[in-house]
Amino acid sequence: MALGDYTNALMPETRNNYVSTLPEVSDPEATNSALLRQDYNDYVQDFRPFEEQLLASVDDTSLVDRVPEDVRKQQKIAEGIQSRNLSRYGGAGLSIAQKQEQNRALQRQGAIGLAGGLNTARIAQDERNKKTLSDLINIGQGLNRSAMAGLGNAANLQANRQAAYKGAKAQHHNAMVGLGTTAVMAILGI
Amino acid sequence: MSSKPKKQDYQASEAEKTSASIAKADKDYFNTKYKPLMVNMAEEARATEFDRIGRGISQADTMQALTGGGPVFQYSTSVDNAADLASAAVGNLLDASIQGQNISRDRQLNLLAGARGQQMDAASGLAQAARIGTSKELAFAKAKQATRLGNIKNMSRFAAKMGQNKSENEALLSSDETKDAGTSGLGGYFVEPRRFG
Repeated sequence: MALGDYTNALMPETRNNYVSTLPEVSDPEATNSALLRQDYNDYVQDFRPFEEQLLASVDDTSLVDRVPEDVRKQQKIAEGIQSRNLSRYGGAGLSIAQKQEQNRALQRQGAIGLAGGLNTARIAQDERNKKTLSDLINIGQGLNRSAMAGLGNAANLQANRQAAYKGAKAQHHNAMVGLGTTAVMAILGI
Repeated sequence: MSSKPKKQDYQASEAEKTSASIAKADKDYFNTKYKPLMVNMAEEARATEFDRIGRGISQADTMQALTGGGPVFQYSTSVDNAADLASAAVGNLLDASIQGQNISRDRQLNLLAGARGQQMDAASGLAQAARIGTSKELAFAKAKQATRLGNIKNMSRFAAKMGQNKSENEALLSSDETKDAGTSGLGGYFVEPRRFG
């Protein structure tokens, strides 16, 4: 495509007028109000349970809770692998004492794994929960800011309206007083 | 004298009307196209168990690394191979659980921030879950297995060399012409015979 064609394509008269097809917003204030209501209702319906679940997760202990079961299961798996391998090699020439030592090593490692795993899991869980909490606080701060801005805006608008109303009332009062004074003066022929 | 205020003087301008129409159209478009995406993402972030995916990967990695080569005689006779395997598996699973939980939470928080109108990050949970790292326990068990196999190999090589020395020394000693070059007794295993020619 030549450069001139591009230029022509960008000319307003050769482009579709999408804006003219848009429906007119006859009452922007009512539309805005309806959309705000709809947005809030949608938020509560779609995201509030999700938000509450996240807020509750700052006390999560699932990482720590899993460790004992993991240790038990993995020991069982390792024990199974060991006994199958020994069967494959016809006992692999191990003495009873050696076999006992294998079992002892497995038990010992299990106890060490449980203690170490619990410690690591506790630290990791605490770190994760703190990070979740701080992220939630950041989100909450943003929410708080926008809520306060919305309320401040509403309060300002109301204060302006009240001031305008008071001003109008005073103006009306003055006008009435002026009118009354003029009428009295006219009656008295002053 | 000025006339009384006319209602048409207080009508919205064309620019205001156009702006309101465009804003309403954009809002409708957002509601139909983008909002469902966010709701779906939130549901996915809530329901996807990244820790379960990570744990599956990690368990497979452990078994692949420590038993993937099939049964090895030396491992069967070792006192602590099974213990190391269990320890590596637990360590790797814990790492996967931690990383999986981090991915899940970060994704959920990101979604919540988006739903609350704040900036979102682009993060792919599944790709992160697939990159679950290897725990130090697994690395340790793997290194220990490698050392164990290396030691066995070196010992076999050493024993073979001793056998070779002994038989060559015996051969030298058996002939009168070369018996001075050979070493007898226990030294025959360790002293390499002199070569001729």
